[in-house]
Amino acid sequence: METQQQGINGKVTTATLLVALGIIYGDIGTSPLYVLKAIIGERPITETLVYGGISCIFWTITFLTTFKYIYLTLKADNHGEGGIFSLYASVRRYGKYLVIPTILGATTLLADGIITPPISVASAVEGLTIIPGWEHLPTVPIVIVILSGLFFFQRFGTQKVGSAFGPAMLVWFTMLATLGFQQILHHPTIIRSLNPVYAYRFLVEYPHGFWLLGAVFLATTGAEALYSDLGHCGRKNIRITWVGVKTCLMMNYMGQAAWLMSQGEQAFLQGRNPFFEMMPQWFLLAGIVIATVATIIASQAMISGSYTLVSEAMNLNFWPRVTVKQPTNLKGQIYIPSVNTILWIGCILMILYFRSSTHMEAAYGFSITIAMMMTTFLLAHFLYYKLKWKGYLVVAIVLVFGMVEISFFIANVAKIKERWMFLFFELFIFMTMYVWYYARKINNRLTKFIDLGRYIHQIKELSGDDAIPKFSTHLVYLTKANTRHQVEEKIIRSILAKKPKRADVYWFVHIHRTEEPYTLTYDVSELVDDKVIKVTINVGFRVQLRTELYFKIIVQELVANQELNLHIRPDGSTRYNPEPDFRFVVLEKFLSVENEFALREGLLLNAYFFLKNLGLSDEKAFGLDKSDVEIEQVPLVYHAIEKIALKRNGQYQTVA
Amino acid sequence: MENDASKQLYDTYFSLTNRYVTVILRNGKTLEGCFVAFCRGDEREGEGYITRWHLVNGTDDGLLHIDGFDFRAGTYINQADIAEIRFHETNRTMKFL
Repeated sequence: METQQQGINGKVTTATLLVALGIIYGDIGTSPLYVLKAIIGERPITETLVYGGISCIFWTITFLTTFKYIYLTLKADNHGEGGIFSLYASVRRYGKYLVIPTILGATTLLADGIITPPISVASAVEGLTIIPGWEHLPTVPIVIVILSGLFFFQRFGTQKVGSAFGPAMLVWFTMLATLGFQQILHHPTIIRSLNPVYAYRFLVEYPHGFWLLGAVFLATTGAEALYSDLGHCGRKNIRITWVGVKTCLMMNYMGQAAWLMSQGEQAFLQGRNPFFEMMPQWFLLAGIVIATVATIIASQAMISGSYTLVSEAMNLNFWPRVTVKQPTNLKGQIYIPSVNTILWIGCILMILYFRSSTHMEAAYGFSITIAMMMTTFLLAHFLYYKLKWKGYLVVAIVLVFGMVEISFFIANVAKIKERWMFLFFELFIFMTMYVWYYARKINNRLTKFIDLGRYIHQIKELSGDDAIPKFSTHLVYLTKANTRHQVEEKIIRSILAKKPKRADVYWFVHIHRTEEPYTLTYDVSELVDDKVIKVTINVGFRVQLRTELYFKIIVQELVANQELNLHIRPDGSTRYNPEPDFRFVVLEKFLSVENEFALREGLLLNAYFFLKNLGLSDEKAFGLDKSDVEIEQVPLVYHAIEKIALKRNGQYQTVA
Repeated sequence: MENDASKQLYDTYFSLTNRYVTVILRNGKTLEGCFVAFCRGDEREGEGYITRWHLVNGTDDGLLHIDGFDFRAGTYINQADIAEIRFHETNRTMKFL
């Protein structure tokens, strides 16, 4: 099952390791900027707090990041791809209920996209205030300018600067390790803090120690990114780089702890950040610049990850169809303007509302605990059904990780209790996914199919009936029917009812979204020789749909192989241009006024059609050129009104 | 899939030439006619192959069974509500548990 795509994923070279370093470690790698500061807060420095905090960080990273993500979760690849939607695509056949954890996980990951950039950048920029003379520097406008610039430049892609991300992160991790090492030399006994006994004392003996887990958890918030970017970097590259990254991170955390201990027992931080405080004065400005660059790279990875997440959500019918652009030639790089705008507004609101990284720490972590719990739940299905692990082993894994993650979740709930505003954004994302998914299910459930064989004779007759003006030479319908002899009733109705559509060749094209990420194949079957043709195009869930282009290639191949004769009858419509014309008909549903709803269905369907109007039109979503497309509106009748008490008054009257 | 009763009904039904059937529902009601359309289930999520059938009175004449005002003729039947079906061509009966 541990399959990998060819390319970067399978190889391990210095270059691939640098790429991995630049893409996936931004979030977890910039955590030292705020974690220890959040743990200490306004509490007096004591050995139990500092040693215990470091011990908790170490064992949290070891348990959740190393064991759960690096060892276990990276096994759960879907043809080399990772992330919650890939995991869902692998296991969805094993339970309908898996939809809800998937939506919850994806919601919280997306919501994380509006808090990671502001907290990371703000933490770095706030370092400027410890430079003598700059104590009162307003950092909020600087953070807003940096974030706005970052979101503005998304439309141009990262092809030109992307190659610098890896080396820049290498500089960052080298700096983390060096700064930490320097402090550890002054207080070498800090290494003892790796002993789990300190973590136990921290949680049990330190007053309200358990609730500090909310701050400890911030050390592992980027762990989900390791899994989401599995496809970009490959398992081996992630596992190898993690050894170095974890070493650098722990050296820095221990360095900060050593600096704290050097301040003496019962001292207070008084708002200072140990990360910057342990830097030599001469290096401070350079250190802040390096930290800011690292946080920008972390934010960039988070934004790109959000685009990928929404793109996958669209392909798996969890998100309304929106415009997706490819800003560069780089494979897999996409830009989604609407997501960019939502994230930008969200990030700016976050920084304006919270003002500083210290306040943001209260809201940070909550979402990720939920995402992690949902991943654990889906992962258990993968281990049991796909990897065929023993049931008791899977249950044990779920229980152990579940207990740890629920503990972190409880600590984070307590932390966020005064920051509920943040949850509105999550509710918006969750409702969008929930409505889109379930309303589409209702929609699909009501789509009627017919046996195409019943209408073949009529279609052949219509095609040869010169009394009816020709609609087009080739008439193409998109169908959801995945079998050769079926097609939607509404398509037959479009061809035969009201104004019949005469064409030389009728095509029924079915787009099959595969559970593999990058499939792009097709099958053709002729139901009537050169008259009625069914095409199935198999498209992976990570591939952007370009139906018209695929269709053109298929026709060219069929003609070249002499499997299709583009015979054009010499009637008036082709006298001036011998080239065949292709016309796509897209059938757009609308909610019929004939419907009467139960409350849930009514709300779902109305919300669905509202979202649909906000999203991309069907022809754009299918990748069709507008000039070749005919849009037809068809009513979606959910429950027709059956009993209408309509009575006639009086007799039929005629004018004399 | 092999044990899916709706798929077995689908395969049997569309292999017939004379598609006139008698349908007995679980509530005891009897209907006669031909299936002209059907709604598919989501097999990836464990639903049956067919979830609903569209039955019209009379023989299968290949028409659309939609009037000029877009109103549908006939009845919709949930697959789960079908107790048994008698195929007039073969005189065989398919029962659903």
